[in-house]
Amino acid sequence: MSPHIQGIGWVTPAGRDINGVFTAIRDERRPTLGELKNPFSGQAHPVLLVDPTMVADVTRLPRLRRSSAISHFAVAAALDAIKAAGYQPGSSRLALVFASTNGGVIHTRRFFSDVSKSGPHAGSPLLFPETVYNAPASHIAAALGVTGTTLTLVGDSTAGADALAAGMDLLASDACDHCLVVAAEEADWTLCEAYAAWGLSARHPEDAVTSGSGAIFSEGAAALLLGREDGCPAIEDVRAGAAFRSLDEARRRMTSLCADMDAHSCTRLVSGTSGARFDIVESDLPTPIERLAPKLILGEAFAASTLIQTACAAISLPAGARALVPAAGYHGQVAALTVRG
Amino acid sequence: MGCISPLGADSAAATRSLIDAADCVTSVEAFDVSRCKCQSAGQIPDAWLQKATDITRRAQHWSRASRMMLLALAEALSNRSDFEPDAVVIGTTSGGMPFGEEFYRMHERMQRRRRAAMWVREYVPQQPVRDAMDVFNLGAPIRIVSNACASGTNALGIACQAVRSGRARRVLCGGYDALCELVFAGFSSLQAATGEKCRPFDAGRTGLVLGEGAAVFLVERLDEITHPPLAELSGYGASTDNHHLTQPNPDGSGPRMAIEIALADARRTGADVDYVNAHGTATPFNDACEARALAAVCPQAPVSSTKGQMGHALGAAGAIEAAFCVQAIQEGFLPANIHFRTPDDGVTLDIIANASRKASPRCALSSSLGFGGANAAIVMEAVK
Repeated sequence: MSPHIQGIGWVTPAGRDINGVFTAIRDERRPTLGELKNPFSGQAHPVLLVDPTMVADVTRLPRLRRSSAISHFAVAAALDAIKAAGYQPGSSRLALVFASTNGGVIHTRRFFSDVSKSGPHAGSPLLFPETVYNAPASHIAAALGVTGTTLTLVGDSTAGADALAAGMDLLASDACDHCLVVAAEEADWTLCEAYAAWGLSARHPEDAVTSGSGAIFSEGAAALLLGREDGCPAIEDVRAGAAFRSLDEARRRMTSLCADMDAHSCTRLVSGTSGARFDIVESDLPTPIERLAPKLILGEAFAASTLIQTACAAISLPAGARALVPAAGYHGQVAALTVRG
Repeated sequence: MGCISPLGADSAAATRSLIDAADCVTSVEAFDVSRCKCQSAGQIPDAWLQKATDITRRAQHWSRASRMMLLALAEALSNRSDFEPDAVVIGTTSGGMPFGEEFYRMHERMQRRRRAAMWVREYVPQQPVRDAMDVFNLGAPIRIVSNACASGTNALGIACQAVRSGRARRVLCGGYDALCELVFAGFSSLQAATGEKCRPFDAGRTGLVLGEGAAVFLVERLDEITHPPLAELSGYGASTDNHHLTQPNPDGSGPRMAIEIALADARRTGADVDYVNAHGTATPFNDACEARALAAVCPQAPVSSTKGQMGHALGAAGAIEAAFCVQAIQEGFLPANIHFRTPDDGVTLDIIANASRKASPRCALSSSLGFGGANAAIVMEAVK
């Protein structure tokens, strides 16, 4: 059974409105760049940030008042997906799969900053619980009253695809009637420094559109409500991870994965290219009629970006057409999925 | 199966410590804890981890977590070198956090270090798994589950479902977590860590001590096995408790739901359970909640938490405790709940107090509760 995408929500640097953001991606209108600065060295990093006023509705929820931005983004996207589907929480068995690459890195950095300055006795009890990878999932579950399976997966961009695979598995096993799949990231200067140290980030904004010169890092969330009801775009197949040890092997693995999924019959490629050197992974994929590259507009938000790619495929596909969504992770795995309109 | 924990460098050594009811919690020296109420943890001696470099010299640059994963995996594969997983599911909470700590401190001190890029790569939670798998040339896709302290149990459960449904034929699953300053400070900040002995289910319990370790399992279908199995992973259940981010609902409904689903999945009832390895962190909230759940579902079953012996290994706990259940089934004993003095008011569980028991358990239940309301339970049985 191919699960159907019954509702979509997202929170991006270009906005929260589905049509507005999709139009920005299609028209290649990148939002205004922001900046995060290392407070010790003064080094500034270009980033694409979410305007916090965009999620003001969820930051007012009692449980989210002290939580980190990643939880705000995740809950906002989740609520939007539920609303878009017309789904009533409690009306069926709902499972939740949440994916992230870096988790609540802002609270983690703030917590450890106190510990590093003053010792392990000095950490804030308000910050620590929000550093745990599954904190955003917990907040979503509380907002929607999920009592069944809630799963948090951590990985690179491929974790977004793996979360969809996990959601499909839960539906197939009859553990739930609907599964909400959410992925979210928040940006922090420590991440910018980390990916710069790894040689993945663009120092200059204009670099990010030149494949291989570095990505612009970003933040946000995406949520897809999966169910069995027909009449919506379906996720046909997910190949959630093939390991590689070199870029050349990654390219071969991706090409092989996509061949197994009959990628030649896809009329749309929703690319995972971000400007980083990993873009080479897609170089042998079939050239479809249409191509979208959301990360080049919205920036690299890892697992969340993969769900945004999937959402773009679902939004734009004519009935019966197929789209290919590849995801090359920075940590040794590639993944791909297909969506049918 | 492979397991490294403060109780032993491998499964056999851990079994001896379990039978002896050894207290393997020691003073923390890896970082300054002099101003913390809790100053101890279950720690794996460096000398044990050093053995990873006998397997590969690359391990000398690895994190503790990667070394633990390698040693656990090496043990698991020692008599199953033919095992090639087509999926890998591993639970963890803190991944390579010590490298993240180093990276932050480097910036705080305004230093530039050549190793920074390596720290970044090793910080990522799948890296210790990838490091260990590379040594054995295993290339299956890795799924990292991070459902807080239920992660290891979730990982085994997902593996069980994947094999049962036919989506995977062979799954490598388990969990790992290494002690690190950030997490130690975290539990200290919540006043969940105790300066006294860790006394699960005791009326005078004052909190947990942390631990560390790794355990991995090679899971395959019973009708496809080529080697005698150690145990059958027969049931899995998971649930979510929305009461609070760090505290379970006191009525025990969260873990009870997970346990009931796991038993139903195994086609068992509470009366069939011969041993429960409880989450039993020794925090007042956890143990009261879990005791209510166990009393409601399997009131007659002997119960112990092994965290008094080795501390709480967080994302690895469920996997390590599953390994202890398998050893209990294989070797015919019930692990002890050490440092137990007085039962909680109104709790009538059969706590295996202070000494292990000789027994022939055929059906064991292991439950886990985590931050964020994550609950999971698995059922393991002797193979008929």
